[in-house]
Amino acid sequence: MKYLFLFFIFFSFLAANINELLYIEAKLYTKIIKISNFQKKNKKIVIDLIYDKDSVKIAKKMAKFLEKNGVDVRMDTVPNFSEADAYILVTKKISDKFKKRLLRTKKLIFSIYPDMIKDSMVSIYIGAKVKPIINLYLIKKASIYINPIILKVAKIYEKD
Amino acid sequence: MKKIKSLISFIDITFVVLISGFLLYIFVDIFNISKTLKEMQKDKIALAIKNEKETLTTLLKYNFTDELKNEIKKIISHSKDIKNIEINLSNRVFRFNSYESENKMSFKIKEGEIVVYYENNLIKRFFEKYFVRFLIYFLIFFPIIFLLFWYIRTKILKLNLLAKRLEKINFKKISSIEKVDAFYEIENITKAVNTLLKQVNLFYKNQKEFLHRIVKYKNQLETAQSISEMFSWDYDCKEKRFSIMGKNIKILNLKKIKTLDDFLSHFEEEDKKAFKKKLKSACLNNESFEMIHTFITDENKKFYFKSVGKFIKGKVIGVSLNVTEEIKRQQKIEFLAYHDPLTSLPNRAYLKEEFSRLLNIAKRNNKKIAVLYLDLDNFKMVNDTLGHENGDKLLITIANRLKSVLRKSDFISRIGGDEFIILLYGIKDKNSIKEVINKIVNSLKEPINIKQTPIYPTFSIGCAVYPDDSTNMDELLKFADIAMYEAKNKGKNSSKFINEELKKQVNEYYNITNELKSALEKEDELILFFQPQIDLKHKKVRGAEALIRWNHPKRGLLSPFHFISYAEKSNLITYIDRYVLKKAFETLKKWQKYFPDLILSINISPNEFRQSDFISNLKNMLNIYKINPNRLELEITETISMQDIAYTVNILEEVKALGFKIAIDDFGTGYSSLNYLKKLPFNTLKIDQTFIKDLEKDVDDLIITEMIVQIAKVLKKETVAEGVENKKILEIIKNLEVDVAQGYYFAKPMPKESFERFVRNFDYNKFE
Repeated sequence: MKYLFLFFIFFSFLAANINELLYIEAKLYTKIIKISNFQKKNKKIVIDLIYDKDSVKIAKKMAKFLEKNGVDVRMDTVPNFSEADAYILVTKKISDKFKKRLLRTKKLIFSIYPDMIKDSMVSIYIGAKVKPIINLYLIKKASIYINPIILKVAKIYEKD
Repeated sequence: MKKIKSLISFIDITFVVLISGFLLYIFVDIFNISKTLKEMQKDKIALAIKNEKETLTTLLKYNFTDELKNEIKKIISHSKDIKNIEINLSNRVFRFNSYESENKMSFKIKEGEIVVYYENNLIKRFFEKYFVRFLIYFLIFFPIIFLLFWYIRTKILKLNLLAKRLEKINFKKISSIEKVDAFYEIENITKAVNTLLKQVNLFYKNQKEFLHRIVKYKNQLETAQSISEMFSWDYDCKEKRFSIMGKNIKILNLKKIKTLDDFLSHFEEEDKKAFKKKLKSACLNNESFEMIHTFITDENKKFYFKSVGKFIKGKVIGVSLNVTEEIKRQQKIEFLAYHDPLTSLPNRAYLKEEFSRLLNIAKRNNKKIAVLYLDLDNFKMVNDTLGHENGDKLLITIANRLKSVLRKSDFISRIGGDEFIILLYGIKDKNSIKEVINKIVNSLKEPINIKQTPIYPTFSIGCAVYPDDSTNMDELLKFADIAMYEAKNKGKNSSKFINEELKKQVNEYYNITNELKSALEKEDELILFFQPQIDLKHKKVRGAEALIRWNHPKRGLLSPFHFISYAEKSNLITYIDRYVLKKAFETLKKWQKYFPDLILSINISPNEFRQSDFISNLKNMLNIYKINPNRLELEITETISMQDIAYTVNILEEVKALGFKIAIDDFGTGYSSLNYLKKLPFNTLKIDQTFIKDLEKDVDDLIITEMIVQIAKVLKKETVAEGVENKKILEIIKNLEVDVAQGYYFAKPMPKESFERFVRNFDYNKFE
């Protein structure tokens, strides 16, 4: 019920102002990456934007917003496991195989879709407040060091 | 002193209490601060943990050990106070380090609890700073406060000392105190106290002198009151209290008087009422009063006091002065003013008042009043022979006898030496009056022994009756007087009622005396006539005797016979004497040039001769007219000259010393003693005309005249024969060797101009 509601909200929201949301996510994710010390020194953050054919437009928009935040964006339908500092999933169609490989990269995996949090490390939570939602299981599983500050502002994803 | 001591104790206690209180306050404050700081620290820790609690739990829950450690490390490093954090979950425990202490806080969380171990660094830090500051402040302020306290305490002790000295001060002996401290305020207080002491000393001295003076004045006042026999009193109008001062008037026994009633009990009833009334009025109307009242002592002695009361501030303050002597004197004066001191009978003034009163009563009641004018016969002889003292005794006895025979309603008064007036009120008729006169005469039938000599006094009595003779008091008295004279003329020891003839004489008397007064004022009615005196030896005019004539405007020229007796009765003779003397001086002044050798003789009346200023008047006239006194001959009668010979000799000596001539007039008619005569310093003997005019017929007169001339010759005096009326008499007196002749044979008295002509044309041969 809850997810149905969230889904409904998401789509309502998306329908209302997908651009605005993408902009917030772009900005939020960039900051999370920065405070999580994934950023290499004197080097732009590289984000691998993984999308599918249904979400090309959104992916592009996202890429555009990310670039505006000084991020070097790579758009892939298949993730590049070597150079990216983080991955943003602009798709809901991701296989377990990929999922495992992404985890092994020990990079943060973001999803622009809130309902994809179970498969990503960070997504966006839209409630009374709009704030990040983090999946500590996956983060722990990927052995990624997380800045506790994020915990203070983020919603923790709990398994059902 | 106790207060000051207790003040010092109080200050000490206060200081201790303040310090204790301060320390307690510090302690409590520290305790509170500590408590607060602890709470704050806990709050701070709680706040820090609260913010991190979820994060820490989450990190532990998901087993982010490194992140957890880093987070805790960060918390510890931020907090400084937190030393260790222990997270107890149901399934695991995480402990950051091994640090443990009693200071720990537990925070319940959903899955367990978080225990935080910490140190009280906040308190430590605070107190480190706090104690430093406290120490600094303490080291700075405590010595200051202590010094201040010590200073105040010391000064208070000094003040205490000063107070002790002040307490011991005997301001009668000490005029200043030493300063106990150089402290400005104490010095000022000492100065002020010394100034005050000086003032107190001065005040005491003044007060002492003042008291001394008051005591002195009080004594003086009491003495003065005692001397003046006065006392003062006051009466409190509200409290009705009466007090009396000046109790040293022993005779009044004032010490016994305690109340107003006591005081008033010594007053006569009438005075008591009057005094009470005045006192009440003074109280009610703020008035002053003055009254003379009686004061009767316990010994029943009566005094008179003059009391003056004045209302001052609710009290009537009064002074009472003994005026007994004054009142008695006044009564005596009043008595003397209305009574004869010798016989105590009413005098003329009283007589007039009483007579006036009786006349009014008689007029209203249609009654008669008889006025008896009594004159003692021959009283002068009694005085002369037995002396005035015995004369007075006689008068007293007679007065008593008169009183004894008269009714109480009758009024008797003595109006002169031997004159009495009796008023018989309500007398019926002349018979009744005669009855009274007879009683008076009978009362004197019994002799009065004076110096063992029986004297039979008699009265000449004149009587006038109201309203028969007159309704006027003065007229009635006058009529009675005239009637008395008439009775005396009748031969004494008799009485006479006034009648119409006498009344006529009286009226004539008053008319003449009034006209005489008028004549004296005019100075041209009374003129001098001059009768020549002829010097028989040298056959020339010696001078003249000045004789007064009254050129009466209606009756013509009047000789002295017509008016001198009236003048003597009315006392106008004195004025006539002076008038004549003045005219004589004027005449001689004029004669000085043309008739320097003429001697003017003038008669000096007995009245003038007895005047006290007789000599001084002569001197005065002499100074005014500057005449040769040797040309004025003053004639006194033989009778006058022989009365009171010593007085006569003295006066005549003085007259002679002034240079005037003196003649004894009417010689031979009196009772001259040759012994006395030789003592008198006279120049001329005037032989009375009664001897001269009958010389040719009467051998006795001839012998007497011859003897008089011989006496004069012996005494080396000049002789003047008066009344030479013919040639035969002239021849006789020439043979008798009389020096000067005066009479109608030569000339009658004539006016001045005629006399001057007579002198110029005189030829003695015509008379030989």
